[in-house]
Amino acid sequence: MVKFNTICRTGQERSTNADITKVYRNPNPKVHPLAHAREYQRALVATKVEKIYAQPFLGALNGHSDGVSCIEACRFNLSKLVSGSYDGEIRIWDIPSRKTLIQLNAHQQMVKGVSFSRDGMRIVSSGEDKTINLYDFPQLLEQSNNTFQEPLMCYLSKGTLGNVDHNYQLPQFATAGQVVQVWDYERPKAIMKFQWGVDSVSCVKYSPADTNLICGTSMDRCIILYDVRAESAIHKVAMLNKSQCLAWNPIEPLNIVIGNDDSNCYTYDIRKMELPTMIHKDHISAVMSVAFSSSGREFVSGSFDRTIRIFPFNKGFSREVYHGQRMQQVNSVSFSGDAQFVYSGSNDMNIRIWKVNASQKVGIINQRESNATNYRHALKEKFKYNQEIKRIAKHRHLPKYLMNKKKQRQEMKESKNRKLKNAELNNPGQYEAPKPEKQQRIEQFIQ
Amino acid sequence: MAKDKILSAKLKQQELKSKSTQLKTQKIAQLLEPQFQQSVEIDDERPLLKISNFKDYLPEENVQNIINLKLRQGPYKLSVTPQTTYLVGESGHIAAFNWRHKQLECEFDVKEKCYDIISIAQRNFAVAQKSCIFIYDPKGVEVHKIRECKQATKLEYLPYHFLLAALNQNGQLTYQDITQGKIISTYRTTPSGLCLKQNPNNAILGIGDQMGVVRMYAPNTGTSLTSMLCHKGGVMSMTFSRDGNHLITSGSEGTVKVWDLRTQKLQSQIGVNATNLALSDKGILAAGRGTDIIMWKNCLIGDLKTPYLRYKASSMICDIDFIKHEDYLAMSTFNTYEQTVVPESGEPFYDTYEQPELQNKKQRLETNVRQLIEKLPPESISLQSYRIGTIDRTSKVIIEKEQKKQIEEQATKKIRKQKKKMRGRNKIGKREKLKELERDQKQQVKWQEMLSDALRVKRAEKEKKKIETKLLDRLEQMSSKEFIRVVS
Repeated sequence: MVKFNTICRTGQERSTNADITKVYRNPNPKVHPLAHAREYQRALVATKVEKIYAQPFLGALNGHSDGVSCIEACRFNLSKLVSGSYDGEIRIWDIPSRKTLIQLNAHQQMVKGVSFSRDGMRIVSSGEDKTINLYDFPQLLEQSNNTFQEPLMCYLSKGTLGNVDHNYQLPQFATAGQVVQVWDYERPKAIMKFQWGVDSVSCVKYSPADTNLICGTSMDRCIILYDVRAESAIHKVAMLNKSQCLAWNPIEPLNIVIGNDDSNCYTYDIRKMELPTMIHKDHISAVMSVAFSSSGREFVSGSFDRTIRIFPFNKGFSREVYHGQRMQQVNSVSFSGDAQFVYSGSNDMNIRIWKVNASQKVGIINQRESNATNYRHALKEKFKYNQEIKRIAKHRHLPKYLMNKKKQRQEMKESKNRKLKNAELNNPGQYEAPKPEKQQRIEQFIQ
Repeated sequence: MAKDKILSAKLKQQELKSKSTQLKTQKIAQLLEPQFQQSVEIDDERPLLKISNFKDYLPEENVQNIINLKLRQGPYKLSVTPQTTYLVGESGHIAAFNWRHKQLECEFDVKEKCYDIISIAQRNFAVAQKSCIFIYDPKGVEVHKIRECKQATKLEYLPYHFLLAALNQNGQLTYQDITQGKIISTYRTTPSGLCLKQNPNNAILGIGDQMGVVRMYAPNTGTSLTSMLCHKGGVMSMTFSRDGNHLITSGSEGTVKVWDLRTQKLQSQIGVNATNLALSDKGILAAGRGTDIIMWKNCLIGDLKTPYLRYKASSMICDIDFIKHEDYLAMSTFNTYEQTVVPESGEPFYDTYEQPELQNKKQRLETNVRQLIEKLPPESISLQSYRIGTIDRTSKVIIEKEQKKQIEEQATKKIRKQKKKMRGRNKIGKREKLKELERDQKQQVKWQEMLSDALRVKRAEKEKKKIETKLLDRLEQMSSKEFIRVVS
């Protein structure tokens, strides 16, 4: 008896045309020759294609007649954005249609800060004319045709005002300025005042976890942490340069990021403010504004050198840089609620909308597409330390003036280091070892 | 130092991750493996079987694919894919037909001597003819004429690099990129090359010559990468196993040897005279000699003592090849094309994305584009193909040396032009003086010329006068009678 079991392939296996064709896979490496080289080639192609599809700029909201000084995206509603400008005008935008919903002549002078309440019902704005306006958001939307809308409440401050930030839970808000003041909706005067030192505070932010903590950056180059219950400040750190802006990490609320005038961003742990935990270096001019994404993993910073940069929360260098030919100094930045878009308000009277992942498709992504993008992402991650691929992935175009400035700075830094080295070599024992950089930036820590 | 530590820790993590995922996928693949096993069960203890004996016991589809076609005269060369076979006869007869669906795709006569045929990407095929290499359409339309390779006798195609390699009778090996039409490299190999075969795992070409030496070539280097002395006589034919670890060669002194390529040592040998060799997916070796083919099983693992099958063709065998992922052996002889069943020779489980011939039309269109995008650069061909994308573990000393070399090379390129230094040397007074000098010089030249002209004129006049006076003197000397004679 002879019995044979051989391969018989008949061809088409599907019963009708509507059926899908069956796909056979064999993971045996003998069936896949040159697997390493092909995978590497696929990774190379994936990085190149990512660069080809990197089109981060989506659109601009124009309408302001003077530079935009502050913006904030609504946490409750993804499509609303409020912005204040140098001529005292506040506009509320509908982002999908790129149109102004409500236009308000809020202040006589520059609008210093705007803030949404966390439930999206109220808007607070502070102006250089020492007034704070409180608006009712739903009411504004109802009467959107009327440009002469009255605020719900108007508070007068004795000293000059800076930023305003709304409390996460209570109907209260805090303002920066000559003194840090905490206001309540009901009271016409501030219910609490903090002062440490003579100088004014430029930016105040509430902690997202503990609503009794406020952190502020002051004009005497300090970062101060206040406690509302104790009605006093806890401690402060004096740095070498003045800080302009502040943001709390929403997922790790013990960390804050501040943007400094020496073009760096510093991450501090509020429990231990003697040293910064991380220095984020990549900007070339003063950092005007910082904002965290709701994932807590990235933050965006807009600076005086007309660029915005997206930093990962734990790395020292930026992941992405966005710049526009017509974008002037960026005054304020904000993340959208779903952490997919970044808004930047700048001196050229425009608010620009950017994508967070420059090569991501905006729209509905079906299953096969997302599988393919995940595969490509995994390939890029696997080969990201390879020289050729790293060079392509790292490359970002910068405008000429920025490139020149950057090179200049690098040269200066290198020459400094070289001189230190030479001095040490030639005069051994006379020079102390230089302090670690994190220590260098801090002047003193005061309880 | 701290940076290196972090980076090395990350790289270690990555390696561990990839290893663990490999193990996982292997486990899953084992569980999900389709349960098909080819087998031959024979009750009697007959060690040698002739294929003609067991035709009745085969399933019908296999019997349908046993082909015996009569062709015109002339030794025929062969190239088979899982769908079509391409035949070329030395007389110039070219034919392509789909053996699965029994359809003729194209057949034509070139009226020129043809040496070899090979199938190329997207169902085209290349024929090495006497004048040059031609590339034809699936329908038989001539698409390209490659003039750069003259009188090529052997062709080989590297599918993932889109490279067509052609070997000359003089030993000239040319690599041509099919997508761009550019010649990547040509160089001379041995002058007596007998056979050309590709290592499918590496994309390295092996050339066996009449001295019995097998040399490995890559497009980058002009010389051979390695060479092995395989036989006492010439190397008649050779094949590589599909994982690139074994090489099987047959010599003209009558031996067939199995070599382990990782150690470059002989594994086993048998005293059989074979002019053609073919190795199937699963390791069945077929050796053709005259009209007979002997097949051995497990030649890579075990020894070649007991043959597995025998086959007798109708005339002298010119070329044999196993069909991938099928249990068939195709051969082209002097005047026939034959195809027989060899059980347990093909790999039953194929990967759809690796075999465009076994895909349907839509899938094939996609793979055409994807293959082009993922075309590998020819510089990446090397003996150790698994090293691409891995960490370079050469010692620091060697890396520093190479970097120094690079810097030196760059420095020699950047030879700056020396600028003409004019600082403090361009004063107005000096410039005017120079101008005056020039003017004077010009004037002098002029005057000299004038002088010389005048002198010339004077001299000419002087000479004239001299001649005149001479004549007059002569006339005076001459007598009157002579004068009269002269005048009249």
